[in-house]
Amino acid sequence: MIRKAVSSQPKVRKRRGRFAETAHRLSKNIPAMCALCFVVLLIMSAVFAPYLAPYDYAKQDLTQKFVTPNLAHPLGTDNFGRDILSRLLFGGRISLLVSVMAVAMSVGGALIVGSAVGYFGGALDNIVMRILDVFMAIPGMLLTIVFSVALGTTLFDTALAIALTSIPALARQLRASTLLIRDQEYIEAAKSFGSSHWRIIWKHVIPNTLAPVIVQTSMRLGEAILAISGMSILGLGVQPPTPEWGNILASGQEYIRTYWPLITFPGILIGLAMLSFNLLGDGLRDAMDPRLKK
Amino acid sequence: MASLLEVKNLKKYFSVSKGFLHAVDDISFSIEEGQTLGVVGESGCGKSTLGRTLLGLIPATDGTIMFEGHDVTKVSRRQRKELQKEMQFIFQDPFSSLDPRMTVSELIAEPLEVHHVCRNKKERQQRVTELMETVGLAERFEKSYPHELDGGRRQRIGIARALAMNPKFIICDEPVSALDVSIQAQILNLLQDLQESKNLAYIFITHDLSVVRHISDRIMVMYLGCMVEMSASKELFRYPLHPYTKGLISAIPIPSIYAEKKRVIMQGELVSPINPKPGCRFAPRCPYATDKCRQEIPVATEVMPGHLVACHYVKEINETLN
Amino acid sequence: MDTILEIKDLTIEYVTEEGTIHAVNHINLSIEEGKTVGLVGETGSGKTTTALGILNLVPSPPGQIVSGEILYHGEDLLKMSKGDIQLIRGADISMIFQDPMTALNPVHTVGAQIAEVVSLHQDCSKEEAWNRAEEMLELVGITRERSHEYPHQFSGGMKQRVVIAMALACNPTLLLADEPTTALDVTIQAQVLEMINELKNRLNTSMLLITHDLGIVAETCDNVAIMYAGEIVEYGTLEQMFTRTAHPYTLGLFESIPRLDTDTNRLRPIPGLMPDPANLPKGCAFQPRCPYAQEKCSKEKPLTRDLGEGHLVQCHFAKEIGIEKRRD
Repeated sequence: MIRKAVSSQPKVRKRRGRFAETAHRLSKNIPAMCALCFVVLLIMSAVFAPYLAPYDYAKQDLTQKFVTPNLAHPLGTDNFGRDILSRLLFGGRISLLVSVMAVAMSVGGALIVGSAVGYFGGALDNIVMRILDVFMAIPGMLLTIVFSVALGTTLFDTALAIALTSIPALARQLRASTLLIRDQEYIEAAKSFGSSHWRIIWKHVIPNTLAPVIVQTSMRLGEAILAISGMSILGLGVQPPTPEWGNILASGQEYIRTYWPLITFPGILIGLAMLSFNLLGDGLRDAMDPRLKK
Repeated sequence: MASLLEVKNLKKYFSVSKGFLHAVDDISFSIEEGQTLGVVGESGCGKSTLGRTLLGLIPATDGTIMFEGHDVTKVSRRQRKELQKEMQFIFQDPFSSLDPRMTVSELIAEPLEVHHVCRNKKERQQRVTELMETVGLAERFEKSYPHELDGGRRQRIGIARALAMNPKFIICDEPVSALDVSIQAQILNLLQDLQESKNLAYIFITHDLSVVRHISDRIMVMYLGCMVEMSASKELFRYPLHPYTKGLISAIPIPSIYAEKKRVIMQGELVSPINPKPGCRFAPRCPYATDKCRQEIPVATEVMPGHLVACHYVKEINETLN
Repeated sequence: MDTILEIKDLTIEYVTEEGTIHAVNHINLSIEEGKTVGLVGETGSGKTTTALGILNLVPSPPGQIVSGEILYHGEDLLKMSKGDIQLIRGADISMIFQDPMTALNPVHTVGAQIAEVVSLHQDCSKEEAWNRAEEMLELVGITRERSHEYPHQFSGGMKQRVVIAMALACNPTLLLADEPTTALDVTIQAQVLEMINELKNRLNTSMLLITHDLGIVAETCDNVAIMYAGEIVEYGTLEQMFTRTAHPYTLGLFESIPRLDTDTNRLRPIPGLMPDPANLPKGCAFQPRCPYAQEKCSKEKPLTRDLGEGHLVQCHFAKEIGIEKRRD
């Protein structure tokens, strides 16, 4: 009853464009804006790490082992006397880079698989989806470990392993949105002009699934950071001495009872990064589709 | 003169879980250049499927569709693309038939891009501006998105898109039924003007009988996938011969307080078109139905010049024919 | 004759970020016992909002009833408590929505849905409510046996009959029908309209019929109100509206529709579009589209005038235009 009434409300002409409209709605979402600020801060600090870091991340000073936070070392030093703040700043570069690579690959792959399978349907759809179902039945971390063991431990390999693991779920989601779009009349209209299938997928299907894709990208970034850290803790990810949030955390494991800064700061950072990407993703979803809210 | 479009024994069956849905069953007709054929019927009678089958959007089950001497059902993919330049489609819902992420000029440019008819961007832009002027869209809407415009303007975009390739033949599937009356009249006038200036042939699919009478030269009445009556438009309304057409015409509420109201209320509703029983499809609702009607499919016969009726008892029901 | 419902100076607005939408602007309307009033207008003219306003169902926020009174048997519905108005909704005043497909709950049988309405408003046992439901279904031409079926087992026309049966189950004195036949085919529309008319006469129910189809108006209404941009621009009896049309918008509506009884080569549509209800023009709202508009129209808002025998028009030049029309 209520929905009927709202739809019969006279439409107000919108003067802002689609992008501006989304940005306007996002700017009103305080948690999402805080998250966005934090994400920007992370990116900036990763980019400018060489200028911001007070010390060389690899410089060992065994006389300065396990220094608790003070003015010279704001976050303390680790078991080799390396400055934790510097290592976290440089580590952020790797963590963010690998997660961006992983998400780019998984979104790209899922977009191709999901939209092609959803658009064409039929036997192709059935076969591909059943294969993806098999992969989805295996726990994610286990699958990542298997891929990682098979591929190797370079940054790219780690990213690829994480990407391959997340493709099935993402592809399934994009297939669902493609199925909705496929039955829209504007797809039929494009066919009536004689557009080829690939043109329709490229020009109409993909642009219209972009909203969920952007939201997913943000959410997956958070997950990827966690996955990379997890791999590092298991010793399968980024190898020392290259700093990475996960392996910094891992190196603190041994001293968890005796020296708190080494495990606390990377832990908080990973948690905050994940939270921010998720909040931002949520905020974007609400901003892009106001009907979903409430 | 050969007809622009000649359809013979066209059939379209959809395979559904319970059998076959006879959406279009054995329909034949032809259209000359610059003419309008109205197709009327109630929802589920197969009129939209007919339009889509003619254009090749869905493949025909059986029958031939000759367009300018080419059989649309048998041509190669390349030939079909050429034919598609000549045959266009205007959709019912101007809200869902336009991609919400494209601007007005992108939307109108789309068919031009698909067929690579313009040598460069400038030429394409020029053509878009020209088309917008033809359909009466002000240039300032060029960069607007469809959701910012009202239904009438959106339907003008749809018409501009259909005109982009200079077609000879346009299938209009309920182009005005989603619009308000005052806007509906604007669009109908536009379609008539375009027909005159470009010598277009239309198939005008609608459920609105007053609209179809206004715009068509000839009208075909469909019932559950079958043609029940076809004749010149004025004649159909003056002398409806098929019992279904009679009921349909008398069911229209007339906006006049002086109109005589002798209504034939048709009992019952449309039966399922899935695996229809042999015999006349209209028999279960027909007041004149006999056993013959329930067993034999009536064949369309020309009872008056250019007036086809598919009914066993057309002579008995209409005394004027004798 | 008794006046059942009287709307006085009703104004409803939707307040959104983009601005205030003036959906209904100072309308006056009354419905007499046993009569049908047609409320005619195009999309966005405020017809549905008016009907929702009568039942105090305007979604809020963003909607709000800014001013006005809605007197039902002399009592103001807008001042009633939530509980009191709930007793009236569905029992004394009930509403039929445009789309029968979404108005019924798919997980309950139609009999149960009607029985629920009955037991909500009447003090009766389950069996009595169920009996009443079956009676109502028979009244609208559906056999008792079908009361145990679910909405998806009914066709569109049958569903609308069920919706009507539900609306009439508590013997309402006033029926608000919002485009009750727009979603139906012509032959089914004819059946449903005939049925509504017959039931209305038998039960002596009053009705506010919202529609855009002047044909339906001609066949079912006693009085007609034409709405444009949230205002009632012309009001009168069926005869006054069809033979002595006075407002240029009403004239435009008549000329926009293709006729079955006369031949016209070209239609004469009303130029332009309905104004943005968030940004109504100064003076008369119809003035930018009006072929008769003069300077006065863009400056001064026309007041409602009586052309005689209760034929009300909101136009500065109604008398002059009416005369010209009759000469045609």
